[in-house]
Formats: sequence, C-alpha cells, structure tokens
Amino acid sequence: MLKTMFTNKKVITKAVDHISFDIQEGEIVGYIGPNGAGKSTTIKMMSGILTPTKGSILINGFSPQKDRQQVVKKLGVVFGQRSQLYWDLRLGESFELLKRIYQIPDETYKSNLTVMNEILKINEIIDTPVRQLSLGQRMRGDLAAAILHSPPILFLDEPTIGLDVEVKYGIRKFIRDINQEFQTTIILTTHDLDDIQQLCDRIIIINHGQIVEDGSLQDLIKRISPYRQLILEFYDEVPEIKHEKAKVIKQESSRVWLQFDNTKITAADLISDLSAYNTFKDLSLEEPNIHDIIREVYTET
Amino acid sequence: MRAYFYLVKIRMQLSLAYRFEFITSIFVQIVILIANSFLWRVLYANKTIVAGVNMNQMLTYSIMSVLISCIFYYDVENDLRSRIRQGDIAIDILKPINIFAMYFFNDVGNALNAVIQRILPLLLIAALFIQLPLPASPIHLLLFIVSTAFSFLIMWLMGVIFGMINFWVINLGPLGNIKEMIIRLLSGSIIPVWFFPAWIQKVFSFLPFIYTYQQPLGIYVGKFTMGEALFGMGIQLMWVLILYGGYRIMKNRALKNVLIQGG
Repeated sequence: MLKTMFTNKKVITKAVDHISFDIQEGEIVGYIGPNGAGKSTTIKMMSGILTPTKGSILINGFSPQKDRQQVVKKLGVVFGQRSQLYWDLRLGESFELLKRIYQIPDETYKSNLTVMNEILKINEIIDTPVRQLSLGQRMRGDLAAAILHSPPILFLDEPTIGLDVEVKYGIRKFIRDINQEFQTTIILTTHDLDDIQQLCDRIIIINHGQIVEDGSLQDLIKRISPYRQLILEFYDEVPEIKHEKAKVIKQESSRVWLQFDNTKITAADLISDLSAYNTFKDLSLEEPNIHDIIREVYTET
Repeated sequence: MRAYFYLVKIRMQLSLAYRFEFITSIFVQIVILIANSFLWRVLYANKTIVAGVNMNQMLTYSIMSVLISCIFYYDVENDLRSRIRQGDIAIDILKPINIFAMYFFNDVGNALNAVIQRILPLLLIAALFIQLPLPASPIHLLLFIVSTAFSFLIMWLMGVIFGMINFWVINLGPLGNIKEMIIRLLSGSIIPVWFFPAWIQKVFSFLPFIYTYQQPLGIYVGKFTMGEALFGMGIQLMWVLILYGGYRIMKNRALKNVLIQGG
C-alpha cells in the first residue's frame, strides 16, 4: 500500500504494435482477436479518439488525429458496450440532435429514417424513452443513430454483444443490407464467429497487439484445417475400412469417423468408393469447426 | 450552431425528468435565504451603515447571492469527471463538433432552467418573507446582468479547466469540492470582502474569486461608484480572457492524452 503510494514505476505496455492494413471501399472486414488483443484500441485510433505514439492512419486521405472533425463526419461508430443515446429522452430526440450536429439535410434525414424503419423497425421504438428500451431495442437505436448521416465508413465494435439470436439475425441483415445498398465500408469487431462467417469477406486476426492473419476465412480454413470428417454408422460391428485417401480417427461400437482432405478426394467419390463393398445405415459429413480453427490461431500466436 | 441550440433545448427537457432533485435542492436554498436574512438583521442590530452599506442593501445582497448561485451551477466539471472515468468521453469525441462547446451549451441550458425553475420562485419567497430585492437603479440592473454573465464565464471556465485535469489523473477526487468551498468563502457570496481588513481586500483583488459573486452583487446594491463598477467589469473580462487562454492550451493537450477506460 505505502509502496504504491510513493513509487510510481511506469510499465509501458504496447497495446498494439506494427499493425498495418489497407481496406478497400465497400469491404466488410472482420477484425477479431481474443480479449485484450488490441481490437478496440485500433478502432479508437482509427476514429481519432486515441492518438498512436508512432505511425500513421489515413481514412479517406485524412488523419483522424490531425483532422478529427473531417474524419468523424464520414464515420459511423457503434460501441456495443456504450450508447450515444440520451438515456432520459425519447429515442427520436437523440436523432434530432444528431441531425443538427451532422447538419443532415431534411430530405436525407427523412429518407434515411424510412430506410432505417424498413431494416430496423425504428418507428416501433422512436417515441420510447431510451431507458425503457431493452438491450436489443437500444442496439437498434444505436445502429440507426450511427448511420443517420449516411457515413461511407462504419466501425462496429461488438455490435451483437449480449443479444438474443433473433436480434443478432436482424443486426447481421442490417449490416449486409446497408453494405449492399450504400457500398458502406464496414469494420466489425466481434467474438461471435457466426457474425464473421455470415458477413465478412475478409478477416484480420490480431493477437498480443500484432496482426497474425489477414485474408479470407475460406483460405484460413483451408490452410489450418483442410480436413473434413465423414461419419459412418453401420447396422452392427464396424468392418475394417481401408482407403488410401482417408484415415480412421475414431471408432466406437457401430460408428466410425474418417478424416479426409477434400482437396485430394471429394466426399461423393469417397462415399461411392466405400459403399462399393460396405453397407451402412447412415452417414454424415462434418465441416471443420471454425471455433476450433480460430482457437488454434489464438493459442499458437 | 443549430446543434448547440438543440442541446440547450434538450437540457431544459431533461430538467423535467429530475423533479425530485429540484424540489429538495430548492428547499435547501430557501433555508439558506431565510437564515442569511436573520444573520444580517442581527449583525445590523445597532448600526445603520457598515462599510458604506445599509441593512436593506445587505439583505438585497444576500438574497441576490442565493439567486445567482442558481445559475452558477454547472455540470461540465462533473460530466468530464464521470465521462472520462467511465470512458463515455469516446462517444463525445466522435462528434464532428467542439466537445467543450457542447458542454458549454449544456450549461447554458442549465442556467436558463435555473432562471425559470429556481430564481423566480425564490424571488417570490424572498419578496414575501424578507424584502423585494430592488436594484439601485435601472442602469445598475443592466450592468449587473452583464457582470453576472462575465461571472458565469469565469466560473464555467474554472469548471472546465478543473474538469480537464481528469484527462491526466483519471479521477480528481475531492479537489473539485475544495475549489467550490474556496469560491464560496473567498468570492463574497456569504460575507462581502469589503468587511475584511484592507490588506486582505488587496490580496483578494488579485485573485479571480471576488469577480464571481461580489462584483455583480456590489453593482446591484449600488455599493460601487459607476467608475468602480466599470473598472471591476474590465477586470472580470480580463479574467475571462486569461482563463479562456488556459482552457485553449489545456484543451489541445487533453485531447492528445485521452485514455479510454474499459474496452
């Protein structure tokens, strides 16, 4: 206790280090990494909230630190754990304020609200005080608030955190819709890998403050875990199975797990080869598990 | 600019959401108002004029002190403290707008609320139970209003400067309250500094505090000659500029020093 009062030893921790990437217009990029990897730090630097000690960031050619107001005009940002809405006022009141802050013309404001109502059903909640909204409703409000000024770039920091399946589905649909309709560039950080799988053309994985993967999810899966599994169920005992392109990895009573590389043999060929001299009751195919793959990336970097 | 006016409007709407807080705090102010009037009646029991001011002037002074204290109540310091502490400052920085101007117009909204919701009822109570606090003349009233506006700026700028310290220390602790106490004591809000020994008055004239309460109040009750009043207002303006300069210097450094708490 006394020690902490009188000594003030500084330990410098680099939240992010040597991070470099380019994002094209209209891309949806998943920016993922374990807790504390530096995701939010990056988002905050890109939106001009934090100032990096070294290096530079350009958003549409402007530095968020030097030309903060220029950059944030073109940005929509949603933090899943914070809200920009006025707690004690009806939702629409926050929208009206944003309309004036971003100097949104009347027609744009009206048409954006109409679009927002189609995608997020904003009219159901626009007259409710924000404090009375459920988490899912509030998130709908926050998403609408973030794109009211039609920003060409959207940063979503864990937008689906704590939400139920139905609301998550709605938010994913919203992200896809506005990306298609307005060519909005979207950077999404999330721990929900279903978000990534369903939305992102490209993922950037960050760990311990450094980028460890940058590419499409498919490529990542192919590289880290190119194997698929075929599960066969027999009527009684499992016969001895031999195939040069598949390997038995597990066997229990009447079932057997075969692992194969789908760049070497297709599932259909393997099944027809095997059924030529075996009869089986049931079969199923298993895709590589994205959770396992991502966990592997996290632990091995 | 329309955004700033809308902030004023929102602030006024919000005050309706906190009625209970309003009722309790106005009750406290009524007690202070009455207690002060008894104090001055006792102190003036055997005297007619002290330091060039009679009892009626002093009663008006103490009533008006409570009234203007209602508009010198500002949120900026606490807002900055809590928003920096909880990381919500991030949301403000994302707006294409000067965030401190946002806080300023919030507090302008608070001040307008105070005029309607506090000053008018308190004025009525003072008129009924103590006396109607009349200004020395219409010109004194006019100068008083301008001087009070300067006082508001001085107080607000001190508030924002104190609030900004939180950017470096994350939590200022009770320092803000200590500042409030010092202002209360040294500004002449309770006892005018002209009752103090000459050397103390001399020292105080070099500090900003008496230019918050005593300056407008002294003008209102006619304690100052016209020359003294205008000279004092000149010093008020000087303090506004000094504090504004301090605010500008700190502002640029503060925004480079942002730390966001909690993810």
